[in-house]
Amino acid sequence: MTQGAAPLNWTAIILFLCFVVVTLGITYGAARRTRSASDYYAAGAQITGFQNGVALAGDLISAGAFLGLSGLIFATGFDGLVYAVGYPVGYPIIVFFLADRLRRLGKYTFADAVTTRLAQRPVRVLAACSSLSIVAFYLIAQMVGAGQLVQLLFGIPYLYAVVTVGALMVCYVMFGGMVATTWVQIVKAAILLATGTVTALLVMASFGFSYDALVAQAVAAHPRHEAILMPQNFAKAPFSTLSLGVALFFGAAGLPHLLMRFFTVPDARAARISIFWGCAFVAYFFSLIFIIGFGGLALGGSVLLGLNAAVGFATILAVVAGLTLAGASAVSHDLYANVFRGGRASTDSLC
Amino acid sequence: MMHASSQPGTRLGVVLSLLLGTLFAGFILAAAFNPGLFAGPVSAGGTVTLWFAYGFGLIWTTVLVIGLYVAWVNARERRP
Repeated sequence: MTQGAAPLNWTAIILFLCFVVVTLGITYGAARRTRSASDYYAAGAQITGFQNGVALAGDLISAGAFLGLSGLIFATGFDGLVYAVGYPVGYPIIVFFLADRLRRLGKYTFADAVTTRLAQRPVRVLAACSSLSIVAFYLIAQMVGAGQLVQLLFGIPYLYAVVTVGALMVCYVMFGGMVATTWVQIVKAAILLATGTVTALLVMASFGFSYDALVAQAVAAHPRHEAILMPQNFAKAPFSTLSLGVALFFGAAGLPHLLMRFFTVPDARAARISIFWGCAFVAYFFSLIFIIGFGGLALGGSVLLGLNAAVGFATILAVVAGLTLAGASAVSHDLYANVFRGGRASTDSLC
Repeated sequence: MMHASSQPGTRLGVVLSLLLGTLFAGFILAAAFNPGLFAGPVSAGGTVTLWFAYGFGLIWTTVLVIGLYVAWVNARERRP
């Protein structure tokens, strides 16, 4: 136990362990089904549009969304809305210009798609390094969140928490590949949406299902009062805000773990359907976050702390699995097989 | 790489991207340079500001736009 640590939250620990057991079971089943490189990298293109949409939502509702966004709303109110708007607004670029085209190529990674018409070696190195950079930065945030949560709830030192979570993720990806990663995301997304709905309903019930009353109470409770209903920090740095806006609008189209998802469905139609469902579920969840975030301000304390902490774990684990697979694909398929081995490596041997 | 049936979808995608981009740009520019623009309440005597109406309206407009686009392009691909 760390010095001065709070008592163990057994609800969260039990729920977390249940999730780990279920996902390890999924990984075991996926490992038995994985026979080829196509199965490993792209789930054999057997995921339906709706399933992939739920998995996409799971990928998109990361710790940054669930914990970070609700925390940002709790701390500053409106400023969270910019991110909540910016994430979904970036998805149309994917469905209009990328999803169906990527699927038609029938490849495994974004680098495969880019090098269809461009020079193999330099472009593949660039694309793979770009993917690895994005994955690395994304993973840092997720692993910090995982480490902090595990440290808080289990009472073990931060370093051990991070190593334990990392080892679990390596198991998911190494043995289960994209099949396991997809179904872990689906399970996580379903749990997340259900938990978010229950939490939001409980919060709204406390205010007679009046969002005005909820926000009024949150405004009264926050030190800055009405200021939290308007832009604060974004107005202090307008050009940084513009830069953020550009990043949010175009950035989602560059996330490697999202783009890989479009290789898992049977055809271009399913790829488009999957991004629609992904966006719809994300929009729904972000709407709930604005109830939960303000509810934290208005009610104080914790609403379903154990359940939400366990779901927070699940969120981080699932997103880290997706990111790890994207990074592993960039290294094994793009760099090793196609750059270092000059395309001579048997892709079936990479499973 | 460009499938023939995706070309009308591409043109529609460009138009819809510009539409959503304009709406989002308005949101971001107002947040950056004129935070008081949408500071008024949605309803008289209410607490929730127009900022939240704009933001959530944009989120769900995005979902609607994607849904309509997918339905339209998928329907065109089904035709012989």
